[in-house]
Amino acid sequence: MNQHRVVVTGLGVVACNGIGAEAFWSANVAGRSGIGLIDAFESNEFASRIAGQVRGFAPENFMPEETVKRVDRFVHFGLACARMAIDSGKLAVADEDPDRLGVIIGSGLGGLLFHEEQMVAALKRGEMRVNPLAVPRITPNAVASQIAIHHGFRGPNLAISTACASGAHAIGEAFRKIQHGEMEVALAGGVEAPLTPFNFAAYCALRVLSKRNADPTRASRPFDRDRDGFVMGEGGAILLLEERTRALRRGAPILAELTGYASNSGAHHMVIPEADGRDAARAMAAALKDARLTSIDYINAHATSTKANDTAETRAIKLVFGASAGRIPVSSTKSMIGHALGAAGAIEAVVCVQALAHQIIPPPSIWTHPIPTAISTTSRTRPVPRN
Amino acid sequence: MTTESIEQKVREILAAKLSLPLEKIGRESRLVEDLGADSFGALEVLFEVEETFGLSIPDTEVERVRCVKDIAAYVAEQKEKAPAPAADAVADATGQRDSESPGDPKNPPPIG
Repeated sequence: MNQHRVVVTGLGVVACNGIGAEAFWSANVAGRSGIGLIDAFESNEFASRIAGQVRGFAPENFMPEETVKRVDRFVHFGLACARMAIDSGKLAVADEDPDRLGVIIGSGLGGLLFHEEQMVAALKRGEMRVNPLAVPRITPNAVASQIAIHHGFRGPNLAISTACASGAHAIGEAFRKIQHGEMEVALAGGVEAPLTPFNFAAYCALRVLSKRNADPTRASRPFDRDRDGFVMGEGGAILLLEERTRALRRGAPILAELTGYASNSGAHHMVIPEADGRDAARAMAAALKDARLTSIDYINAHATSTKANDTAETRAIKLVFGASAGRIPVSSTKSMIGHALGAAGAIEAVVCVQALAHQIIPPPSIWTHPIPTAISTTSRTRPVPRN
Repeated sequence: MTTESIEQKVREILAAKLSLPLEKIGRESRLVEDLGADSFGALEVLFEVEETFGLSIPDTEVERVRCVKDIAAYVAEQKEKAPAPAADAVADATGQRDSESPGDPKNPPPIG
């Protein structure tokens, strides 16, 4: 099949260490953490009290006041990222065929914040006191729908909910749809607003969160010997993806090209990867084959800072790249922003696009006791090596 | 509450829920035709009226309450039928509202 090529022409990001692609990139290159004590809710009783909480975010800068009041925080993130991606890609939506513009956005949890508030209202005051907008505010596809409504994107509109892979899957599936000619332009990414009392309690109960409450900026330490779990983050990222020839025709800023994608399942466990890393390795190998690539200059690892993930991921990288694994720099954005669940893959895709555009590899913010491995986990900002 | 004070409160609810300046909302202003409320906006207004005055507007009555005057008249009629207000309504009328009430612009949710 004759497939279209797909390029990235715009970026939108809301993260705890930077709002907007440039501020976020500067923070990443400087190794600046956005992790701190939670003040989104009363967290004194929780074993973990730290998170990558987004502060200083003003949704009214990105959407009408009425929308700000009517949608949940995860949609605020999505609408803000969409606005930034369209603006940075200089896309004049009014000049486009709206049927060819699609939106695919991932979220692991949907409008959990409003859901919880409404559950509390129902318990305290009776079910008839549930807000009439609860349904459209809570549903996980609220982000993709609101983006389409606000910007007039009338093509495919999908929500993907695959936990921590949601954002990456959204980008991959949008890439496929453009490759196959189902649409020409897409806003694709992921958002998450998981800092709610119930959700945080649930993750505490899973015993997967870092308890390094006294040292928040050094708590998320992927691949470090003294890691003690992941730090939850929030935010979102959206990429503006376009079929390449039309992007060239309109003189769009081309930041990167997407060349391959693959996904699979370990069919193993809901939250723990297979320890030998073979499932992640299968996905990476299939994506490389899809892209017709054999060499890689940089890996932005999922690297959650849990032993189960980091160990399996290290093994997966070694399985795929064999002897050359040790020459590929690996770093983790989560060291600075924590794990933003369904948004993580999209936020990290923004880092990869910027690493390519700037030819710089961002470091992790913390590196106290690196574990000797055969992979080249990088501890400093450095130029992309030439293979 | 007097009819005037009910109408004033209803106007304030419309202004807040539909993001409109108070002076644009008259007694005869209709939610949809004059004030541009969509179906969600109209639902939010009715919900807030129910919350504020501690009453319930059944589906069969929704068609009756199309403008500020109608809504206020309906509220006054219900108040006459049941003069003892619910605890909610007392709290609302005195501004001592439960901070966990949904959708109150003066008491935003703890995040966001």
